[in-house]
Amino acid sequence: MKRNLPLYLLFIFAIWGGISVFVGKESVHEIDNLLRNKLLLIVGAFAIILGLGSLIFHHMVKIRNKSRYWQYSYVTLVSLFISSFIGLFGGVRGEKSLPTIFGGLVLLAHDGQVYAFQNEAEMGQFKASPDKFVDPARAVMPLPSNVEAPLSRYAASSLRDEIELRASNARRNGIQFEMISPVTGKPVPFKKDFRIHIQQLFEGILVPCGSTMFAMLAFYMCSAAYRAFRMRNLHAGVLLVSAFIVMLGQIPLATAYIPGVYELRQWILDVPNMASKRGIMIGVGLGAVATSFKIIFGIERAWLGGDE
Amino acid sequence: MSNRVEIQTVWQKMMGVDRRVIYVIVALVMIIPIIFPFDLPIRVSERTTQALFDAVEKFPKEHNAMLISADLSPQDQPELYPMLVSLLRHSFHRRIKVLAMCLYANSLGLAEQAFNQVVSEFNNRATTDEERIIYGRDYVFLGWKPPPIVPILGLGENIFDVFPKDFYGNDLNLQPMMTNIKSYRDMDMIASIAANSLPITYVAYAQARYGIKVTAGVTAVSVADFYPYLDSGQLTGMIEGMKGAAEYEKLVQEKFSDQERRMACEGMSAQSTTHIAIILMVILGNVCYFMQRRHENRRGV
Repeated sequence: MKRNLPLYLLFIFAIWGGISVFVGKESVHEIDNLLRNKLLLIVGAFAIILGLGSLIFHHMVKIRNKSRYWQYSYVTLVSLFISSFIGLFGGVRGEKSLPTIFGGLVLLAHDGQVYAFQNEAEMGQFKASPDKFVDPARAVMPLPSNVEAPLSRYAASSLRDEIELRASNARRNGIQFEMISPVTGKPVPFKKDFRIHIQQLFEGILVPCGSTMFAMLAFYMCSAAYRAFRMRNLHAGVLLVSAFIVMLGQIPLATAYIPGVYELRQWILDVPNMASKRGIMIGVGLGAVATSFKIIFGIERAWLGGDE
Repeated sequence: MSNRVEIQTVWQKMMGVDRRVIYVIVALVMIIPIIFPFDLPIRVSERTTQALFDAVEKFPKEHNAMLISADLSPQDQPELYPMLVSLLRHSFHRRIKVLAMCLYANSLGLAEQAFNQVVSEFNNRATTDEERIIYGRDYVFLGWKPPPIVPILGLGENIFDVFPKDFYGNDLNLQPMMTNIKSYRDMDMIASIAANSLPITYVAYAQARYGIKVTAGVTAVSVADFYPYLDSGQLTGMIEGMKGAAEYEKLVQEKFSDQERRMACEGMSAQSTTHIAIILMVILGNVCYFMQRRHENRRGV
């Protein structure tokens, strides 16, 4: 049973998947949608849990056994738990209850306008008697229609971004951009907030690390091209010349000043490349169909794992 | 004889040059144009970039919508991010309703960043609420839902079944623009921006089953894989790597007098000099190789 049940399930669902494409009945589509949108989602969610469990278990074992580079497993686990905690309770951009945005320019939404203050005390004064201080001329900007008052931490942070962008654009165009406090009448200097929400972690850690890793490839590629890309025989020569032409076709200067390079690059992509790609695709497609049938009818059982 | 030995040693020495020398050369040809970018004559490809631009231009004026599947990661950001930004600028200039989603979790941050950037650009220029780009009215970010096949097929039947809430946790059916958009039938095109074969998955499942137009924004290294789909008309235009992104930036700027930063055009300077450096290095490496082989043949080695 342990062996046959997955095979029966696979057979039933695979045949059903095929039928639902060709049968136009509404009821068939409804069942198909239910299977895909609900059942597949649940399976997908379990796959994530399984993946997380496997990751944690793998690194715990590595630390316990003091395997090679076991210290890095601590980095993985600590990063995983900290970012999960921040993401679950702080939200992607600080919209949930855990505070992940600190400090920054003090903003208040009042009567469809956004005002800036030096500090919280100044804002308190304004709030206590707004009629005394309200002055639309000293508003930083009108409150966007999709933002509600009072400003949430997340909304205030987004508005700070917008103000910063306005200020930098104004500076670029030689225009003086100044925020005046409606309470004191003095200019309010722009102050960035400190953020540790998921988006900030992504922008501040993952993006630079990922970009650095990939940028290093360019150096290795150049070194490898210099040392190993040799015209040892006719085939290597054809490859080398094609690569040169396609690469030259990517350079605007070459396409502008070397006649025929662009057309030649396009010909390589349109004719020899396309012919070989189509051949490969047809072969892979037929192979995939054959393998699928073997799996559906239980001939190919390697996917079951173990000794099957 | 001694002179000859010296020349031969030079070829050998050049072939075995310290890799750090190559790294320094590459760093210089990359960094200098990034600091001092120069203008390049951008030639727009008719079959790829221009075809996509024209297709977006032909969207109906009312009830138009595009789904952008933004599946970029920090590794391919220099190529794919400018494409996404240009496509968003073009869509918002034309007031096309944009739905965006990601099929992988690590794409969410960059996709959101692109939206924030373009929305800020538009809102910074806007003088009225009509000119502003407003979340829910002009665009919706659906977020991420695994596995990829679920949203790809599910959006063809009913968006709300797959994404009852948007990325920010709002009820999707409460977003004003979603009153007219229920499935692929209410959209004009899917733009898949990815560094892998996802555009082909959209062709195989979304287009084959629901008949929606699909376009792609892909990295230069994977362009060759998509040409058969472009030739068969299954892909409506395509943006090819950073070069394609620069072409799209140029088209958007010319059409709408957009003065915003053109990231791909700036990057093209560094990419061009690096390509030239690689070509020269390969030529030099081969010259050294042939000279060395010639020397060995003469000596009968």
